Amino acid sequence: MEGFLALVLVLSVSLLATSNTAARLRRSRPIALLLSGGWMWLLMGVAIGPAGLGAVDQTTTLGMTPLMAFVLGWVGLMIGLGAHRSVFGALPRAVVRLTVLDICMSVIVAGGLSWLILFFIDGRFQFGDLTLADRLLVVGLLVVCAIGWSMETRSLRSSLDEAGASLSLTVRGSGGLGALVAVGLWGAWDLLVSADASGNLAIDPVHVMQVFVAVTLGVLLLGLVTRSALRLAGDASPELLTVFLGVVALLAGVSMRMGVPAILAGMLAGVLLTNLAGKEVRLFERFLLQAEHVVAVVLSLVAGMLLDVQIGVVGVMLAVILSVARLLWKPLIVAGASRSTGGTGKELLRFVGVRQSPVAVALGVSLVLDSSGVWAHKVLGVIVLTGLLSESVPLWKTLEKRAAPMATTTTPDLEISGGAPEQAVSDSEEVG
Amino acid sequence: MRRGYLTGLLLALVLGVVYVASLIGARASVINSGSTTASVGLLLLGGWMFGRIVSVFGLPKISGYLVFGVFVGPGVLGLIQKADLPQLQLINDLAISMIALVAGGEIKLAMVRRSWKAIVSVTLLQTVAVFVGVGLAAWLLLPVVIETMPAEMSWRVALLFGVISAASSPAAVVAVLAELRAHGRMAQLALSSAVCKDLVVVSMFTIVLALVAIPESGAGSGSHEGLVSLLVGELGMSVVVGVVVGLGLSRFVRKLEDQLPIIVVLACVGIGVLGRAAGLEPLLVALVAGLVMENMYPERSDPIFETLEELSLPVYCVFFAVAGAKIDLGDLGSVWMAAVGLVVLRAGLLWASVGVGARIGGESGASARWLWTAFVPQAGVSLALVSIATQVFDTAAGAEVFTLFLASIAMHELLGPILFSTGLTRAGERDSGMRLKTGPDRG
Repeated sequence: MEGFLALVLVLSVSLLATSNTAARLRRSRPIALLLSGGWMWLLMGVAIGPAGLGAVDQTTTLGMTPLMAFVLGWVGLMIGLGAHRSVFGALPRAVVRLTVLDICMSVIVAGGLSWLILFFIDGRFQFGDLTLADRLLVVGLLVVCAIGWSMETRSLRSSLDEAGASLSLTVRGSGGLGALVAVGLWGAWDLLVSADASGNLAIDPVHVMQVFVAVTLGVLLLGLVTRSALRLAGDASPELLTVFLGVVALLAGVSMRMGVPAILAGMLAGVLLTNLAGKEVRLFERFLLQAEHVVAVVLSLVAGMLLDVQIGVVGVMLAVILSVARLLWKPLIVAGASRSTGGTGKELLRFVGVRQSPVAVALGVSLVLDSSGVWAHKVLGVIVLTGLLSESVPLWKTLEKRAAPMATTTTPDLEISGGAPEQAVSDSEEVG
Repeated sequence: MRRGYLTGLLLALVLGVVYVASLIGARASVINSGSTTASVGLLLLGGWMFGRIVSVFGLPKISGYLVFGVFVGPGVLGLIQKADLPQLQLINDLAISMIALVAGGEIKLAMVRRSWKAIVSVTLLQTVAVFVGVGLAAWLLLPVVIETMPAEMSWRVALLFGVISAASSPAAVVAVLAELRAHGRMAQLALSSAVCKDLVVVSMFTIVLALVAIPESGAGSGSHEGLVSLLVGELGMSVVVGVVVGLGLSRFVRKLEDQLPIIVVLACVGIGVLGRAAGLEPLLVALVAGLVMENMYPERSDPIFETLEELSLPVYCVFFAVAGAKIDLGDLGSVWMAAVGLVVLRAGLLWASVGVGARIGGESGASARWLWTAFVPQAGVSLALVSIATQVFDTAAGAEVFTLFLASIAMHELLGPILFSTGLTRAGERDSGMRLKTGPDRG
């Protein structure tokens, strides 16, 4: 009964989120800013979940983890679909430079700060009994969550001039590339860092290689099976839908059975599929992207139900320090990119980098699914709080320089530039 | 045939990937929610592929989904774990609502008005014939077959055997009709009668359960007057709620056309929630809703039924494959002869009673001759009745009775769709240009 009720709630919210009214509201820049990271749905999830009103209890929330595995596989596929081979050849150097710089800074700054707090500042955590392996996982997760940023740029675009358009594309391109790297790094870290039966750190490179080879082969096989299956299905919509859903579920489930994050397997499959020829594969891509908004809403809502709000002093400290760090270094590196592409370095867009990437929430959920510890739910809480705090400065800047409501359909950035390669790399504005 | 080989190869690859993944996971002692998700994916993709393979041999695809479920289930390959099956209950309940919506949408009141005599006579005659015939046979023979059965238990078991044997599967009827695009006289009668029979059997079962209840078992106890009023109240309220749901969906479909897939899933899940929470019969609610939409607002409701058509195939794949996965072939092993005897007896009673009922109702020709095949399949409803009935007998003999029930239902589940498909073909109603709004096969 509770499972049904939870599903009814999730579907009802999805209905609301995909309604015409919601689409009209998203035209307003401040609201677009709020909705772009899925924060509204996330907070709604917290409100109806065990931490809020308790309309959905803990057991039911945990019972939704198979659905979340499916959603993560879907999200991974969407991220991977942006990695067409033509994109990498066409990537401007500015995008690559910005991404590499962002990754290095994330490792140094976010990694260093997390390490400091988790290993040295407080030896006794309110997260629960974290083993060494668990702490290393958390540090790694916070590093990859720090990579990249939200892809929503409309709210911070104050003009449609060429410099602004160019910077917007650079930022979006770098954000998309960053998402790919973040998921890949997280997958590798999750595989590498494991504990033995007594909880001691056990790094087994041989096992990691075996699993990596198995996953790669599995993804390759599934990709080929998908293409053939889609050809067999022809134009029949019910059959195509069955294949689409079956492939995503199988991919996510099989990867998790092997101990590999579903989002990583999804991404690898997305990379493979987007580089395969065939109109049926394009159909699959369109299907995935069409349901993007609903998937994003479901992810945010259930993430809100899964997280633990009682993150304690350490959790709050982590979130605040990581948000402040984002505020300090992200605008600097985006400003640097702006200057290198002919801008002034003082554009409002430089604050885009402050906003945490929505992929971070997906990675946090991935940790919850992979681990049995209560602390994983608290880490998800930290990630969400970091994201919320990181929205505050861009929101303030947007309200400060409030402009007219935006155009409705296509992104102005893309219309001006006709930027197909950058668009292929970029994630959606609402999922990331 | 070439496509069949290709599909077979793809299926083998999928099974291989899942098998290797489960080996790696077991070695690494991975315990997470991946198992359920992988099971859904396997049942969807693998079931779909296996359905296509069996259709090459002229068999209905739902038989393929069922057999695939048996094959990958805990009883054979074990790729679907027993622990995953309860998790898939959500899809089961969603499927029942969807199937009932579709079934309701296929019942044209004009046709029912013209053929009410045939529907009533076929429904009542077969229900009584099977109930009495199987019940009598069970009462006489079960003490011989199951030596540990106490004498005072045999009449109780016989009554339950009779009523459960009278049940059939509207879901299988809808699925086969849709797959074969059958829309003739036999199809219409089969659907209407299967639905009516379901309601009659559920009501009968409630009464029988009250009669056979052993006080200490806690199952089925309650005063007879209370039961009747409960039954009437439950069924009555279900009809009322069904009308409201049907009117609501028809009314608002135009405003929500862009979001119909979510609306349809929400409605089906909501019917399940309401059913459980308010003690209603979800099957009846959805059925009446479909009936109201089709007969009162046919044009407005078309988008809903088209959406149901889009969504039905994946739901059918999982629903029937899960039903197959629940079949334990080991059950068949110990009681197969008695189960075969039961299957033959039931089929014979159905053939005779439906034939007579059809003639009384003014039906003739091939459709009257083959109509009985529509009532052979048994599935979810029968299994649900069995699980309630077994609470009455908490003994060793009870366990054997339970095994016999399951074995006979399993056989009906596997053979029934094949027989019905044959019957439709012999009646000349296969591919009769149906406008049936949903189906497991459009390709």
